[in-house]
Amino acid sequence: MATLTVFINNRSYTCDASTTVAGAITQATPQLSATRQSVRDMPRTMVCGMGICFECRVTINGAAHQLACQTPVASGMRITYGEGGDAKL
Amino acid sequence: MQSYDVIIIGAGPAGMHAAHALASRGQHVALIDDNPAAGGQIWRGVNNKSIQPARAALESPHITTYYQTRVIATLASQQLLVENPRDAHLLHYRHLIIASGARELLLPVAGWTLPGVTGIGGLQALVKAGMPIANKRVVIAGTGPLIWPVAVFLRMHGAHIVAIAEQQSLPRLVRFGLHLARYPRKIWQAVGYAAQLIGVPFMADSHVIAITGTTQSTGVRIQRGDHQFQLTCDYVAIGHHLVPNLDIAQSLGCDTTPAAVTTTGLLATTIPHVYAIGEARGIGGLDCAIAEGHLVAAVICRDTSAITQWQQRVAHERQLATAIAATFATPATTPLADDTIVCRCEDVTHAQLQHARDWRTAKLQQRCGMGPCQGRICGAATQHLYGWGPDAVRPPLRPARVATLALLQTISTDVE
Repeated sequence: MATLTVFINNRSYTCDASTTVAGAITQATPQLSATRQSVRDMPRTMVCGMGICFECRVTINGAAHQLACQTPVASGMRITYGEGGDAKL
Repeated sequence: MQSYDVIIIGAGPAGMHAAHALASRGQHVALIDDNPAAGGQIWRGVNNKSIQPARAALESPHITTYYQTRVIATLASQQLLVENPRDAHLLHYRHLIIASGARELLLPVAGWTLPGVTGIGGLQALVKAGMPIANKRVVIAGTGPLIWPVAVFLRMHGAHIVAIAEQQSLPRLVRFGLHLARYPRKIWQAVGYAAQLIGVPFMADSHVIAITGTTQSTGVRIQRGDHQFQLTCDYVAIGHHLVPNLDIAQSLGCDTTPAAVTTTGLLATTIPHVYAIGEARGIGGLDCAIAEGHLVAAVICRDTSAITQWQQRVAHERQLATAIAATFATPATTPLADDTIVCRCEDVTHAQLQHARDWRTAKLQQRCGMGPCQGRICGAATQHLYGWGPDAVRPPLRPARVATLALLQTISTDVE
């Protein structure tokens, strides 16, 4: 199975090349945990898996508010969230 | 601007089969989907015998696929403004087919915003995308026929299904089962699911009243009749059947009900040259979607013998859709606490919405439905909770880049 390297919050991870950013994030963390804070500072992460709920938005290669569940990974992709990552929206 | 005989919005089973059937009759087709690949939400990445030929046929030179592409606006003079991660396009059609599918109805309950709580189809989609599920304890709750295949899927991927908590009563589920008797393939499917779920506790008449946890879900509280109990788990997959995606049809001006785009028996909407097929016509499942994909192609190409053949098939499959709706389409809602979040984007609570008269005042006064999802989650939820109807749909249908909207300048007189 082909793999590639992405950077999640500045740490490198090797993931399956056919996965999405959501897949890469969940492989890098042992348990689904917050990838953003809501407007009232509540922890949130991916819910619908289908690009509907917008809960999974993260910063990808510097572009904020990208949907992790709808974005295929690419080699060298830089994914950030949490502190210093996605701004609240 | 590219121009096509037919543009199909949605590359799920209905859209793929329509594309295949149209291309084989020589039509030039564009197939648009916001996902990275064809197959639809449920069947994407699944090797299903029923849809494999249509998926393979998308390689046809008559079909242009636009993946990761969202419809931003529907314009007069039969054009669509679409956007992908790189650029935007104006596309022109002679005929437009809405095969926009469905999304899960996600209803608010205490704790539903915690990380670890997903939709039912949502969890399946995430696992398909590579999310590890092996040895995770999962409670599947809510209602709908989607529960069964997803439970089987998750178990095959190593999940420990703690329990399935279905809202509907056992007699009601048995009645639904009896409807399946007329659909042999479905019966075998159901038997297969049951066999693969041996040992998984199944609870009918069971309502989730709270999901517990502080930074992520750690359990779920369930009410069954007069008693309550707690289950411990890592993930809660909870959904309340499906609702059709109607925003594109509404943006075009097509008549809709909350459950479907209004169509004739030949799949025409109330707007000329615009057709609706699959879940957009009401939740009917895979075989219904496939049959309507074939039928719409026959209608557009005026292939009378094929029309007769596929119309009969569609009528048969739509009877099952009626049974599905009667069983699952009106899920019960649990009484909400004041501080339960209803609009997840703007963190609007149940208490804040008590004084709103309708969806419009909720939007204007509380920002309910004004966040990035544009009410796709809380719009359907408030319809169920408070009986609010939808507001007029206006472009942009999805958050869009300024450069995309700037394309409209080139045809600014056409914008409605």
